[in-house]
Amino acid sequence: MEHEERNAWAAIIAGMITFIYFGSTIWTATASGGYGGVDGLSLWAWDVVWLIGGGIVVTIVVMIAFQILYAIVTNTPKPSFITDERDVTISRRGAQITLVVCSGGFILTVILLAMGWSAIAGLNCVLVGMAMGAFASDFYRIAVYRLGL
Amino acid sequence: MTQKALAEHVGVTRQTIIAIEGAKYSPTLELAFQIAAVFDKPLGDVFTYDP
Repeated sequence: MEHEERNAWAAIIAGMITFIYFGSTIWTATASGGYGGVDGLSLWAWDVVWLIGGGIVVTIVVMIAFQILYAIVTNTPKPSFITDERDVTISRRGAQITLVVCSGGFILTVILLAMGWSAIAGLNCVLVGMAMGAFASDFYRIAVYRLGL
Repeated sequence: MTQKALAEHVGVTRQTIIAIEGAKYSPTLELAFQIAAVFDKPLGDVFTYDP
């Protein structure tokens, strides 16, 4: 398993941890009316700021832990950290997939808002769309690396 | 020459060499020339175009 594939696996794990923990926090607050007051949008925004910061920290920690675990499990004291042109091509296609999924999430949000959903629900939809976009990109990268598409 | 040795010569991963051999990835011209240079052969002797 090469460096970028390990990064893709780590990104999926980190994404799931972030999505489940912070997602459930925001979902619970939304469902319980925690964002319902006058400063609801501000509270939501602060939670998302924490989500972004927490997500970055979780990603860094998981990526380092994954690299160390990989080196131990496969008995590879000095694993390769090369990123080559194929990795860049795969990453670029992954970014295109992210863009498509995020755009879909945004369009869905606009439709939901037009149907009368609240601004918080719409913003949550955008957030989920972005998370799904990141997951789609990571799973695409794994599929290409594993199946050699 | 092993895939690993070739990969190290041209600065790519072994997975990329495997993908090129399996016709699942088309290298850039730069990489193709580098691979041909490793074998000291013209590009056309190492790669063929199969539309």
